[in-house]
Amino acid sequence: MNWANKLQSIDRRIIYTILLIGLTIPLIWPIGIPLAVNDTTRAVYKIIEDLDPATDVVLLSFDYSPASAPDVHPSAVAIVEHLTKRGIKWVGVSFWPEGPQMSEKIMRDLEARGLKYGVDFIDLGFMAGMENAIAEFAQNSRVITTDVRGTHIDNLPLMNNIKTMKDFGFVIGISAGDPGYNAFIRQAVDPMGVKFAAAIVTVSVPAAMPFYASGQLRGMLQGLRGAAEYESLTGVAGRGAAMMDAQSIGHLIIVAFIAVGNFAYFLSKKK
Amino acid sequence: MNISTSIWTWVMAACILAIFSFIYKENPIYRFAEHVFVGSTAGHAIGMAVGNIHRFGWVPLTTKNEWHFIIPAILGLMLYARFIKGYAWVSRWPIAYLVGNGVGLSLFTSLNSQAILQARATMMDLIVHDKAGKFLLNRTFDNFLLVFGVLIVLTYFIFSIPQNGPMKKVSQAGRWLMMLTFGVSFGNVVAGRISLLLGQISILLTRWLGVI
Repeated sequence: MNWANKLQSIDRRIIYTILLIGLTIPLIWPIGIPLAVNDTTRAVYKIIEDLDPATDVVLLSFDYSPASAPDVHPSAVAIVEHLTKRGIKWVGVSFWPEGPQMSEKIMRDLEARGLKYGVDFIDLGFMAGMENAIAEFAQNSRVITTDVRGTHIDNLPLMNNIKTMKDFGFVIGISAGDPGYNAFIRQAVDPMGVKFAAAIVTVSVPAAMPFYASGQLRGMLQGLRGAAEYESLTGVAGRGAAMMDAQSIGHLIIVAFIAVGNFAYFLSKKK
Repeated sequence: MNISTSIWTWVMAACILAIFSFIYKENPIYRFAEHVFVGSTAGHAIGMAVGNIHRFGWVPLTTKNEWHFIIPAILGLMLYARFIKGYAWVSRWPIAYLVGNGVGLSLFTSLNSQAILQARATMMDLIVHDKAGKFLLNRTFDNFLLVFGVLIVLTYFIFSIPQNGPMKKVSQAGRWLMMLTFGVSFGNVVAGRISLLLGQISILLTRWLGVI
């Protein structure tokens, strides 16, 4: 076997080991690779900056599970940090069974820092029914009568002026699949004119782009990168920025292997 | 280095490493972790489902006299009739209701959001100026790319006209554009998977080993 053929059949364990080392080193010793901010991220930031903390309440829909959390949870944290920084109150809801666990992590952290559940934020918990539930909640946001801690919504001041999803100043879907951002577009954005943006997993970005171009999505955070971009806009350092160096190195390693594999393939064909 | 003393952190780290061991080769430790994962996920889903029936069905039914909740409860029970010999046909009624509901909900909304409004979004000015009348090259280029991109890709899918001559050239350009889009999708899949891997490595380094 000549070296061109050898390059095409590198043991996958060697590739994984190199990738693992390439990802671990920048996590321990960050390099600080510069990051350009996308328009889609800037759009979300601008909308939140323009909200009025005295009157606007934001709805955050936590539609992801621990399996996709590394890609999308940093975006949720970055958005909540921005809302907290601006003093904007928010209501959480989930159309995925695991969603409340994700929001609980964020709420616990906020409470540890002195923010108050019921005053600064609340969580309505999981509503079963997938897209049906989103449609129902969009038309009647009081359909969930108690929050995750068992308080009736009539006793939660944050829900006082909320009847439909249109009454929220801004709606952000943090989504990793179905039901997700597209169900919100179908059931709330287009029929009711809800102002909506999404923080989505990287895999979904190409499918979501046309909705941003058409204005159905007002903004979008694209996976882990979106979180890192958002952190750079708010100036609140989080996990997104910390992991971007490692992600960039990981991509470079994969690109290098693809290039080497193709180069060896064409060379062996030529011979 | 500040290694965790929590037993659950060690269990979590052991599970992550057991799953990663598949990279080396298929082994019993990986198989065990996989079965634990599938079992716990199923258990969690059942727990959530029972909790939902209690929260949205049983509580309103028994404490608020909202008797109409008896209908979904009966429909739900009817689904299990498929396990009773001779009465399996009963389960078709709730399934028919679910399918009808789903189709009714998504038929118009999908057409509206994903076809009509998307088509409308491609009807735009090809030459773009700002409010002061200044020509905007970037926006003009973007709009040209979007409109002609849609047209040439659609041309690729016209099968009722023979694709030869200029039609073939346009169709091939559409194919190239689609391949570019698939490349972008592949790139995003790789980026997404790297993010997931990074999440797990980061958990090991922070919560378990305490090196960062």
